[in-house]
Amino acid sequence: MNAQFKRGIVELCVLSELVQEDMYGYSIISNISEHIDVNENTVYPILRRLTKQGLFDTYTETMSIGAPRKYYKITGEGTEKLNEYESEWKKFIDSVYRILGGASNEK
Amino acid sequence: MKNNYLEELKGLLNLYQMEDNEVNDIVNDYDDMYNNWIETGMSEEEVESKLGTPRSIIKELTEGYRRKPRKQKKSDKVIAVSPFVALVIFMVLGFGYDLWAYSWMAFLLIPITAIIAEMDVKENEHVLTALSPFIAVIGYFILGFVYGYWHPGWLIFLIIPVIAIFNSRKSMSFLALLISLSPFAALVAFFYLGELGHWQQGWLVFLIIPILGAMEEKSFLRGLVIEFTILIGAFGYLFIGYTYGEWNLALLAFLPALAVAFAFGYIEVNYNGSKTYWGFVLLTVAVYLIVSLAFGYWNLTWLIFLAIPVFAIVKEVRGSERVIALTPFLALVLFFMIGFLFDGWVYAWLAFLIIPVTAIVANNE
Repeated sequence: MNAQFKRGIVELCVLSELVQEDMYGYSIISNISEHIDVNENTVYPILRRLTKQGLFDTYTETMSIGAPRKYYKITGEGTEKLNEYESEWKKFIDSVYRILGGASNEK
Repeated sequence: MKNNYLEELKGLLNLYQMEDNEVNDIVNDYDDMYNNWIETGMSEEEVESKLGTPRSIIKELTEGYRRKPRKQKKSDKVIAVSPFVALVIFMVLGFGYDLWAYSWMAFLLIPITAIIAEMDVKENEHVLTALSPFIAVIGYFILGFVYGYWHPGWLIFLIIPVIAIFNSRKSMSFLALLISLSPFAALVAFFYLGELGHWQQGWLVFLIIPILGAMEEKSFLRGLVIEFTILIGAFGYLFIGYTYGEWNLALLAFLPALAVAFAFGYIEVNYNGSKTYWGFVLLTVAVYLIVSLAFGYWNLTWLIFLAIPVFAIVKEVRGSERVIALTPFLALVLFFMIGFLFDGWVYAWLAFLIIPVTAIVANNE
């Protein structure tokens, strides 16, 4: 898969993971990598970039065992961005399905 | 391992115009991820291959950042001038004194200058390892052309693995250092004894390796048993050989030593700690002997010993210095392959130009 294309999709997945709950880096990466072939090198720079763009906030939480963890929390801007990306993605994937065999993603 | 990893990452991030707190933030995040994977039971090697080497991830991490302008170092000027100096020396020796056979060696000045200038001489003890091929080549040609000692002059190339091991001494005990160096001392002694006409018995000098090796044995009694059976083997071998003239049969005298080695579990490769070095050296000697005996290219097979400095460099030097330090060995292999196999001595020295080229490319990346 084209790296640029993959990064776009992973960006959507990261946003979508964080809209459900606040998470720390490792759990985001392991959740996504259960479904698609990604590793830290793909996900971590995206997390940093989106944080810098204001789509995520970070905070540190102390743990009962081990070092404190850095959690990512989606911002209002992040949620807006996710909705925008999601509708773009749905439109795109519908068009692809039509091209491939006339069927729709809904089926 | 983790500290090295994070330090290398930090060093690379510092090459970019990135705020200090941002650099620290990334390093801390990688520290966390590293710890998270360690907690899942992965080894440090596995974690590093999962996270990717700092060099392979740096592009993603620094996207959108400019590189800090590289400070013009004095050494850059020296490297830039060295090809011209080399060319002048080459021309003067060739046209002026008709020393074409030696004059090409002037070009070795270019990689030598690049290595001294680019590798941190004070901080990196492997500079001498990287330079050793040149010292050996120059020494070899002096011994060959001037004194006609092509053989045993080639033994000078043994200084390459010897220097590599010696420069890695910080990571091994004194005894491990001696054990790692012993095969080379033994090889020189073997050829010396051979020249004196003792080829048949001379190989016994290689027993110095297991004799020293057995001193690493923690149990005094076991160590004593090993030393004793080795000595029994050596004396038995010489006794049967000289008395009955049956040198092949005499090898049976080593059966007790062999049985003990198996029983104590020595005949297996151990990849941990300082034993790695002498395990690797033994393996190299074995491959060298097997390949040489099977194919007979003695004038080329010693190149197998270059695996030792390459191993040491890969293990201990990181980043662009590693690439630069490795190029002399690649150059040396190419040089001799082109020379011996294709009789291309006239062009073979060009192989050494890959060193300054690599040094320049590695530093501009």
